[in-house]
Amino acid sequence: MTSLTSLDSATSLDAAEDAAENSADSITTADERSPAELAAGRLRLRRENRRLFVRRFLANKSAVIGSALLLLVAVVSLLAPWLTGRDPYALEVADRLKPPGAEYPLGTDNFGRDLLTRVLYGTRMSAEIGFVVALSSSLLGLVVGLYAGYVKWLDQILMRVMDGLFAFPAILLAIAMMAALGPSVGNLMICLTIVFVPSIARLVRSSTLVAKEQTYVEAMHALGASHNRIVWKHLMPAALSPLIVQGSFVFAEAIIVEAALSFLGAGIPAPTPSLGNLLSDGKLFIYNSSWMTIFPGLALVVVVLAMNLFGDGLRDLLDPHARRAGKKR
Amino acid sequence: MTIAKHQEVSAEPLLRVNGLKKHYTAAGKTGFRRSTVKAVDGVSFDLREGETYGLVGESGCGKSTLGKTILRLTEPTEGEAFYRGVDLFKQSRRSLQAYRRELQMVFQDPFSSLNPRQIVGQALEEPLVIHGIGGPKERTARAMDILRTVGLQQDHYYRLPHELSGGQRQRIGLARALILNPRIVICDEPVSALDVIIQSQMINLMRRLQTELKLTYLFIAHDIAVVRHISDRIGIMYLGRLVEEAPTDELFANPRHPYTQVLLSAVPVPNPEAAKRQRIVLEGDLPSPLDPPSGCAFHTRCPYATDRCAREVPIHREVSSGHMAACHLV
Amino acid sequence: MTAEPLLQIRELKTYFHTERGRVSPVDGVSLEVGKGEIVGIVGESGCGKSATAQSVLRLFDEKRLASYEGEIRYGERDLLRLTPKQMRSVRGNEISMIFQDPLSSLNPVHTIGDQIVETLRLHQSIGRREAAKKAVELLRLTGIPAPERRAREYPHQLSGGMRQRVMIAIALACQPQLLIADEPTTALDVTIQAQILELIQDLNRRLGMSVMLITHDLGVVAETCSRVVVMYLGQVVESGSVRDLFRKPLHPYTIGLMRSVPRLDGDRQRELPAVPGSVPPLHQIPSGCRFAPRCPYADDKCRSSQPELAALPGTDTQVRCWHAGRIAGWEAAQ
Repeated sequence: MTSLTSLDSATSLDAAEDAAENSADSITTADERSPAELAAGRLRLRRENRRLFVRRFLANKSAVIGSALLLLVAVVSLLAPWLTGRDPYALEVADRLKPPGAEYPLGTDNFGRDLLTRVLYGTRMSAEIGFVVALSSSLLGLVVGLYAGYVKWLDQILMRVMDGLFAFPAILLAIAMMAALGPSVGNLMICLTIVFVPSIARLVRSSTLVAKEQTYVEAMHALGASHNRIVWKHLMPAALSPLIVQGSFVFAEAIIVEAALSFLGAGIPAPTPSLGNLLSDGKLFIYNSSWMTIFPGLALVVVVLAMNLFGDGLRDLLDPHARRAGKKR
Repeated sequence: MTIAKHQEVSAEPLLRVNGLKKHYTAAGKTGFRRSTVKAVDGVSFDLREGETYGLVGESGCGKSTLGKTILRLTEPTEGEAFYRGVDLFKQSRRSLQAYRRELQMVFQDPFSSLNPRQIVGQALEEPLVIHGIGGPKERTARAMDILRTVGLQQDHYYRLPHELSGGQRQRIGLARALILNPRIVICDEPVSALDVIIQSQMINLMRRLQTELKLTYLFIAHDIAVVRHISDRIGIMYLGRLVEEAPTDELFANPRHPYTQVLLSAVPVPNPEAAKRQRIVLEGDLPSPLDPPSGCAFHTRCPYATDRCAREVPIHREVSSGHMAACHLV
Repeated sequence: MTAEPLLQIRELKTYFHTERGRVSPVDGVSLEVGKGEIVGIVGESGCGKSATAQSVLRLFDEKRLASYEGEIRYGERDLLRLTPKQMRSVRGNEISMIFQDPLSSLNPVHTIGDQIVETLRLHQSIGRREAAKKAVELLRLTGIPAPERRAREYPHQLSGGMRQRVMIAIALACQPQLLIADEPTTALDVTIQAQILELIQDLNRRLGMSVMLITHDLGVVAETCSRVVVMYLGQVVESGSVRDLFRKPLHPYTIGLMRSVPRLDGDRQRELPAVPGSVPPLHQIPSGCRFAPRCPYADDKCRSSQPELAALPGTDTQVRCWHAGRIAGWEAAQ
């Protein structure tokens, strides 16, 4: 039965929910309520919506776990200097390659530096890079994507450039650029931003292309709105929620690429503790002092998992289609 | 309640559309040869101050394109549109801005014509912001006023579109068009997405506002019964051309073009006893606008077509006072 | 009832479990479709007419979303008691359904012919060649010109009216006894609508197939149906023969619905008599009579207790109104 297999029972559910969400009551045409009553009603509506959002959020396991882990990562990153009270660069030659114990909870490395402190600082460095890269590539990608989606002739130019960047594997492109720019934290951030702009731009462009065709954009033209006004007031908000979700994935991705680059020696110059550097240091001692690899590795897993879970949860909450799937549970 | 026929309809047109054409080029079936879709192909009509001109036709006849082209939401291929003596099609984007205030549009789809992320108040104030009218306080006051004008309440100001019903959304669409005090409102299928009861509420509201605010409507719709109820004059379109134009009562009493006759007979009548009337059921579909028939575009479906109809394009001419038709047989 | 009943719905309730609690878009609906009869179901959007139709075929996701109560008697069986597997053999085989939007109901990557063949072979054990022949016949039956050629075309190559004919051909594939048509002409132009309605009536006469026609257009009902059921907020408010109902509507909602339709022969200068307000959302159902807040005749009794659907003595009209007998008089007095 073609007619039945293709049937989406959600169609009429949508209608029912539309009706259910429609809390308007137009039977009273005269408006006799005082401003205070209006404000109270508005507040009630907001509170109700917030309550529903909280419930939806709590029902979404990945969002809850992701945010909890993320909070942990944020706290660790911010408080890194105070958590152990040690200097990540302080060499204690006598205590080289100490296994985890009372004095050094995660042991020490081959120079006798406290691994816990270095993992904390490394996490901080990774989070910082992830955050900056996610933010800057989102902003850049947003501008490129919006104008590519809105202006037809610009689309050809901008998207061909993006395609060119897209053609290289992320890590290869980053290595090439780092080789050209020279290793430093700032250069790494610039490189990674350039690497991740195309994926964001592509996403923003596609949502802009859809939003551009909506009647409300046509209505804005009919009112005489300027192009910039349409782009920033009407098309940008439509791109925002997929952008935020994609941004959180870029966050995680950037951390992985940073770790890979540092591991290969093309990233952050030693002795700065970054998770990639720590792993790289540990690989020589992996048989005898496996803690040097295990703990930075675990930290990397936690940070990336946190971002990915958070991004997944966010998508479920922000994306209307995924939202419905969440509701049925 | 009877509404006395509104205001005086002046004889001098407020808007005169002359020989309007809108052609699109589309890739041909093979992808190589480009072909032309003549969405609107030489339409002329007048819009007189204070009247409602109904434009009727089936989907694909070009009626919506016509409305959008007048507002230059899409650029015309050829033709003129004189508004108060000024050709809108010759204005630059900047000088058009002044006229946009006076020519507004209401759209068909109440679901997509409002930005889902904007509260109603913002949507209503946006036209004022764009045209630099008033300060924030004054704009809010005007938005509240216009809400009442279209029969909504003040607390709708803070609602998001998805919290409103279709009828309420369409009222917001109307309010957004009216907040700039336009003289002409082009209504593109403003009630066809609404349920009958809500539709009749909306039609009543639009008629009332026309009198109160001295509006001139170009009312585009496919439902001829609705158009009849609101229009003073009606134009019937088929495949990009006007085939008949007459004052409403004259058109219904005396439909001259075979297509108009078919259109009238196809409307289902909510009266089972009258239902056994003779209905002219047309053969076949609307021809593809990519490949319109020669001569009179309607000849492929017309029950009265002759050889001449296939050869010669009929001229849109006056058949009696104020009644125009494009058919060889009248 | 003149005809022998084919489908009897008794006190059907459909529940949707939503985030804001349980709502019932179909709330105690009882109606019958006789053999060879065309029954119209009318109401505004949100009145539950589509939900009723989809409940008959149990198209809602019962695992997570919806649940049913009541009885849907079809022949000897109660459709609500069937297993999912048994239900699948009823769908398309004995009861078929067509929808408002024929484009999204057709698979864009298969030809029209293949889609009909697939349906045929799903329910009957016939060979490919024979099925292909039958597919062409079905297309011819639905008035598609040059059916052999059309069978090899894809949905996007057809116009809206043609697609709806194809949907009807697919629906007819297994010679169902009942066709449920959910707003089949709403997306079509009037001239094409006239063709499709003509076709449905013709098939009803020639094949003796019963039709449940869901529509918001009273004109469509008047021209095609023999009986009509008017729904409001998930309930039947009035039902009866088309002739009686249009001549003398009894429920204030039916009256309001009929008056708000602009007519070709009505007085243009008058305002359209519109029912005030709009259909309330399902989670804000008024107590008492559901139509009371919008009804010009509502009194305290209407607002406090709910009337039952009751037959009017001496007719086969049923009305859900406390003042059913008196409304006509009040209307006349106005």
